[in-house]
Amino acid sequence: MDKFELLSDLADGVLDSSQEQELFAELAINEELRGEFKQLLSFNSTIKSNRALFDVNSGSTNAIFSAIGIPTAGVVSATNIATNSATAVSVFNFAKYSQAIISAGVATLTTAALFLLFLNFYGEDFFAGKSNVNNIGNSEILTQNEYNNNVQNSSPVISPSENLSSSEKIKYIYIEKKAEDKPLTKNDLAEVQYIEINPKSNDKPIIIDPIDLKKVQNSNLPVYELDEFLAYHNQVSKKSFFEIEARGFQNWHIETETISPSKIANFNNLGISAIINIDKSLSLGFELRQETFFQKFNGVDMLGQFNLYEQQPNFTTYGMMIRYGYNVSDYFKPIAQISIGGANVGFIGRFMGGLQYKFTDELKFIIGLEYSNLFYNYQSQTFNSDKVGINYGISYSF
Amino acid sequence: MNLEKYTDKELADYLRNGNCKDDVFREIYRRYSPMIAAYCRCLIYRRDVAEDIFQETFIKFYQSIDKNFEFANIPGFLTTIAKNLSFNYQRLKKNTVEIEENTISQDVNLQYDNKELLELIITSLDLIDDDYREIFILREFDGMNYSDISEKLDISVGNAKVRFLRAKQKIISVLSPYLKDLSKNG
Repeated sequence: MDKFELLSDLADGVLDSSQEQELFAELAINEELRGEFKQLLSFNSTIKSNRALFDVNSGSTNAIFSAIGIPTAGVVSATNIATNSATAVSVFNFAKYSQAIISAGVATLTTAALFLLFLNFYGEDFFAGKSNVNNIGNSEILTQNEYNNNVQNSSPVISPSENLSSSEKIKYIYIEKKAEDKPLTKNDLAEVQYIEINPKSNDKPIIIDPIDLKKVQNSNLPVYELDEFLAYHNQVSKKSFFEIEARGFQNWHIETETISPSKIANFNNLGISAIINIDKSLSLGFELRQETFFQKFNGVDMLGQFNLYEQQPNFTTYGMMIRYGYNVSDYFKPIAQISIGGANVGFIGRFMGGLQYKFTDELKFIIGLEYSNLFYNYQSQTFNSDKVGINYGISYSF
Repeated sequence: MNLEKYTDKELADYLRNGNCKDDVFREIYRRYSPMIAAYCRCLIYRRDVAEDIFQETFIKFYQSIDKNFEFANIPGFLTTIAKNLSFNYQRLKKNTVEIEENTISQDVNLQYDNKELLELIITSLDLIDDDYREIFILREFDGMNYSDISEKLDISVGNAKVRFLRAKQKIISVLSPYLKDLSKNG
């Protein structure tokens, strides 16, 4: 064991007593060794006393991964998610509903593809000009050699007005103070930085360097004030809080219909929903529909005769729904929705997968494939009537 | 994909073979983020600014990674980015117009001992070999014991200890003049 290892073990308190005594004796007479030991202690204490500096703020980690557009979760977490999903599917009895689910998936994808094709008449610029989510991810990629020059000579950028339509990323701008008190020009803008605003919270964006707002205003540059950022942020949060959605349905019963309604109620296959957006992904709502269900059930009448009943009555149904959506861009949001509710005869469960397209901040189009199942009792026996349908409609946000 | 056992150079090969850049970045972040967080806090007095420079460092690093990225000294590259960003910040700070106090986020300043020495220790990691550096970081910055390190890197406990002590000895010898002054003043 060399001297440095002995000193290191002594400093760490792991040296055995016999070696410790020997080392103490040597330290007493060897000034150079004492000096070396002192250096080692300074070194150790510096790291130990600054241990807190090594803690990485989870907010920073989230901000970094969010900015570069990759999930923070590691391999383990991803595996867990996959396992949990598989479990959920098996609980749902995939075999029983596989046909309906696969049909729903295929129809949704087909609808989405057709919808994208349909939108193509806008031309490529339609997306190129407006899509601005996560500007950092699209920014220039620096090579290692270019890096230093770029950091030292960052080119000025002005926040374009389109960027304010992005609710996630908002730019703020460093402004260099001019030597003389002259109005600012574009050249005075030193660097654009990004901050992330969490739409769920009312946290103010962190300003690293102060901005002289009056000078910015006087410069006639399209630069937005902090207050405007906040006003916009609040507007975004509130704007989509409440929605009214009207939908039409085209349904096909799983059981082949042998009887049609003698009279169709007004507003048949139409529904209206009131939706509250909990956050950007999750919504809760209440819905009211006018629709028919084909019912085929049997029983024994008062004379003891076995009867088979077939009917397709009009129902006014209602339900609570929970909807989850994922913003793949500023405009498209695939959604999944589960609703439970009922009619005057029984309980109804529904599942829908689909796509939402945002025309404006207020107006959205929705299309989806839905599976509905009505459970009802007759003479203490439970029967069900299920159907699949295409839902299409519009929603308006307040 | 668990990349924990890969050295920095093996990560480069992994990336060159067409594998996912995001996985590589995630592993590098896991490996070096505590060190860079500490380094940023040594460089910048204001904690909130240090956090921002830390974030920006890794964002710039991610943007720099491609198949031809030179993985010879990742911590050195990261500290260079952080240092440049902090210089940039200091330069801008000198020339910045003040705003009303109530709109500026408050400083959260914490006092730490010998930040300057810690900064030098982190910077001097450039001078040691990859194999030694990784063990040094795991032991000193992540607080792992030799047994855990040996398991993680698939080497013997004795080998882990030897490599760690050599790394430490090398850094101390580099910083020796500074440490001597420090022990005299202390």
